[in-house]
Amino acid sequence: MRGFAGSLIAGGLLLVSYGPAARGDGGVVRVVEQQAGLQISVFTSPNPLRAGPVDISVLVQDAETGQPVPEADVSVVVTPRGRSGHAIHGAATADAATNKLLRAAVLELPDAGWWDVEVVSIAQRSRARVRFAMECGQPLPHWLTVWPWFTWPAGAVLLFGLHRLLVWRRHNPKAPPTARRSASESPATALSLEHRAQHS
Amino acid sequence: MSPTLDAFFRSWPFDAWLTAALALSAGVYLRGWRVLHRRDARRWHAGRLAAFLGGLAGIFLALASPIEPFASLLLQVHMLQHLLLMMVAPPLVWLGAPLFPLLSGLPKPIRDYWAVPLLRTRWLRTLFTRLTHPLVAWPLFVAATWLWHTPLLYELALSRGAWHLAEHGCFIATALAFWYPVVRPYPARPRWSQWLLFPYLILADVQNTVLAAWLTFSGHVLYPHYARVPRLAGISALDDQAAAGVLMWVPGSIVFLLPLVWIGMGLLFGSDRQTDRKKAAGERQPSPVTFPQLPILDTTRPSPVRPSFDLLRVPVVGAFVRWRRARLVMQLVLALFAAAVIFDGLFGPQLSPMNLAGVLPWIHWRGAVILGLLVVGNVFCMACPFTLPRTLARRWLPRGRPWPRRWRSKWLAAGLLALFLGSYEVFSLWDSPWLTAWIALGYFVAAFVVDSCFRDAAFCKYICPIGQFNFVNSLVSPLEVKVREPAVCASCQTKECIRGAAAVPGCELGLYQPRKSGNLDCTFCLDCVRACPHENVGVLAVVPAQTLLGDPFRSGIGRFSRRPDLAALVIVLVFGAFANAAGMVAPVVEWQDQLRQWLGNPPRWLVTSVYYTVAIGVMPLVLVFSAAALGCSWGKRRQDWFAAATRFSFALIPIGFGMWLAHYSFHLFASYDTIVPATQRFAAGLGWSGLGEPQWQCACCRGAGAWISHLEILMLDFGLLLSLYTGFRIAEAHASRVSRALRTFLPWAVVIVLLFAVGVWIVFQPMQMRGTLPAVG
Repeated sequence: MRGFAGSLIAGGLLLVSYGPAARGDGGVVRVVEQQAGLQISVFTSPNPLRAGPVDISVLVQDAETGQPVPEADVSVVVTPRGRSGHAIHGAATADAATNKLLRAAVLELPDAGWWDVEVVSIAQRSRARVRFAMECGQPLPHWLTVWPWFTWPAGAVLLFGLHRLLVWRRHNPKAPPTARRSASESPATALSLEHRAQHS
Repeated sequence: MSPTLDAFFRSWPFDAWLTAALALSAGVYLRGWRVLHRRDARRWHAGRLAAFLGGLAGIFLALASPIEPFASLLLQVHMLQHLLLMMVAPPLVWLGAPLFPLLSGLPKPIRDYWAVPLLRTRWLRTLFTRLTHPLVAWPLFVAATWLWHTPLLYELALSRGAWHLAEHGCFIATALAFWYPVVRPYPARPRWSQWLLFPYLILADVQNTVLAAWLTFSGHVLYPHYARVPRLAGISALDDQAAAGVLMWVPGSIVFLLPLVWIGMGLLFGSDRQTDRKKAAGERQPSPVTFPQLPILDTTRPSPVRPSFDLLRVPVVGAFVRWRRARLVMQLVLALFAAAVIFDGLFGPQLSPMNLAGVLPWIHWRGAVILGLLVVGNVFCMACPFTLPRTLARRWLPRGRPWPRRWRSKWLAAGLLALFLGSYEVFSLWDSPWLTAWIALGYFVAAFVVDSCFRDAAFCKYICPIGQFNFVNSLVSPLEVKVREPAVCASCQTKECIRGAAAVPGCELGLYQPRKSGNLDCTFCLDCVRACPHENVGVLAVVPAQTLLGDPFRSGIGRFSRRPDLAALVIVLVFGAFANAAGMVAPVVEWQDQLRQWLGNPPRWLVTSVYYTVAIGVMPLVLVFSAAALGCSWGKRRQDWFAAATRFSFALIPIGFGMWLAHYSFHLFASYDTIVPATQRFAAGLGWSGLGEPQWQCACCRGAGAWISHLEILMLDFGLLLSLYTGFRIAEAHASRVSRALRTFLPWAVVIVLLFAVGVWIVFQPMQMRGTLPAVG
């Protein structure tokens, strides 16, 4: 039991430390373009896009051979379209991506609306610039992003209810719920019942 | 190595939930397999272990290896993922015969209380039997394969993570059902002829071949996603699709045909299975798995008693704690910290993030106390510095009088605790090093004066608010000072644990070990441990909060149901947890400001006092008494509602503890390094420059990580569940019928859920980062 409890605690801490952040492992293909001998493919996630952390992943390939270009230097600039606001810059790196073929940048988009995205890739002495626009929806309320964390106890309660029902049915295979009745609701016997329950 | 291959081998996604689930399954299986292997090495051979672990490894490879990130770029990799989930992992899992090892590997309380009743349920067994019948399992497997390979659903799974999860779950579930009749893992008994497996597997192979051929020979790309993504290694989308089809065709067919050969050989040349089948047919077994007959499912069988974990038997730590001077050493260390806090609070800068009195008590000490209660027990009282002066001066002090009989209750303590909680907010103690220092100093003086005038640790038992906090919350702690062998105490005549021995006092708080239950009023001084000549008292592991379920007569306390003063203390602590945490969130601060304006701008302390009076006075009374009255009425209990309120109040302790834990650990984890610059400044002020210049950036306010809010919610979750369980068990103990117990419990469940909802709401609100400097920029 001790080892089991220890494992549970360790597992719990591991899970708590896990934040399902946007990761650079692809997503929706936004654009595939060939420029200056390079093929640039840009993916975005999550799908659908919402204000908040947005992952922009870029795959840089040699346009002729299709081989990925690992030494590519990729930067991403995101600018709000038709409204005031600062441009958001980010370097897309392989470290930030799960799929190491890609370069990923996780940018924090402050509000919903259209955003112009510019991806600049420098590799093999060439410079490729890809532009596209994307629309972000309103961010989900905070509670909607963490709802599993506080709703799982409802599942545990349901499971417990099911368990008690099964145990009760097993001990009372034929009797209806009202059949087993005793005079134990009186204060005098309530305590002895509690003691019995405790000892059992 | 090509760059693509190199990237492939470096692309390992990390899925904590999956990894934890697989590791837990492997651990439980391994634990059970070791037990079974010792009993019957021939049946529980290493092959079973290897197969089960191989099955889990298959799932891991499919979902948490480079296959997962590359599956969205190449259809053939995606196909490999599906093959692992449908054709490799499930049969391997069944070859491990997981039922017995998993059951044996579970801790006995979980196995007996949770797993066994479920496994013995007739309708669940019937459901499992029907789902794994070849005539059901085959269509399910085939339907899942075909449906998820239709372009519409395939595209959906590729574009939405939730659908992808559903797809994988569907594949694993139907594949487990499909492979069950083929593998027939022990202790399953044969229900159908082995010859039936020939058409079963051959037809499965045929449908697999048809689907694979469709993919292989199709003249256009079936899944538009793969036409959109950039191509890797010069593989066109159509070639990729054909490769995926071949992968499904050839290895897929092998997986279907291999068991066919194996079963055919067995049928032709005889095997143990055949003998089993004949024997089973003769015995006319109605059920494939005869759960009720399995000895492991017999919860009435006595199991070997394993000694509980005992902190005193842990190497080094146990020896230190048992040492006669251990408490004194711990008290001296904390007294040094207290002296530093008092000195800095009185003479240092009056800006709390810069002062030891501003950060050490309100961020670190509180967090350490609550985490100590969670992990060990009442460790702060064990090392309490406030009682050190009277301990050192004991030989010169008079023995003192007994504490007045009329004050032998927790009413005074509950009132002082409420006063302390209110004062904390009213006087912004967290923001005043000077007041903090005076409180610490006052604590030393009060403990010394009270214990000089009265005997038997009267200050700890009847006055100290910190002590009451620790006493009540330690009822949820995992360790308890407890008798190791009750039989030894039964024969003990001298009772040193309470009377004391020659050089060691007995329990000053009047707790007689054999009749002690729970940690209430126990300061963990361990005098009883040292006094017991039989070495029969230990610091043993207990199930957290289990002591709340029953109401036995407890030494030094009596019965919970007859202690309204204790219940009042509990209520102040529980509702104080929520009031205290809510006092630092923006909406509550705004409401207080609005109330102040509405009342014509009275002093702020008046509004805060009103808030606290309502939060830990009026509201608890209304909620608790309403729940008690409704519960008694609905449950048709003859017990009066005041007694019910007293008894059920103890069920609120876990949710209150969860809130304290969430609140204090938030401050500790979010501002742990504020101690660094304050200590550097303090040391520099004393002329010690070895710690360097103060790093004030450590004291700056910064956002708390997402993991902290997850942790806070998790703490509230466990508090909620434990409170609900405790309340239900209390109600159950007082009612002979489940329906009445439920009706009695329902209003209390509402109160508990309400508190939980308030706690979650608090966690979601922007919080004041007290004890930190404002962020710059």
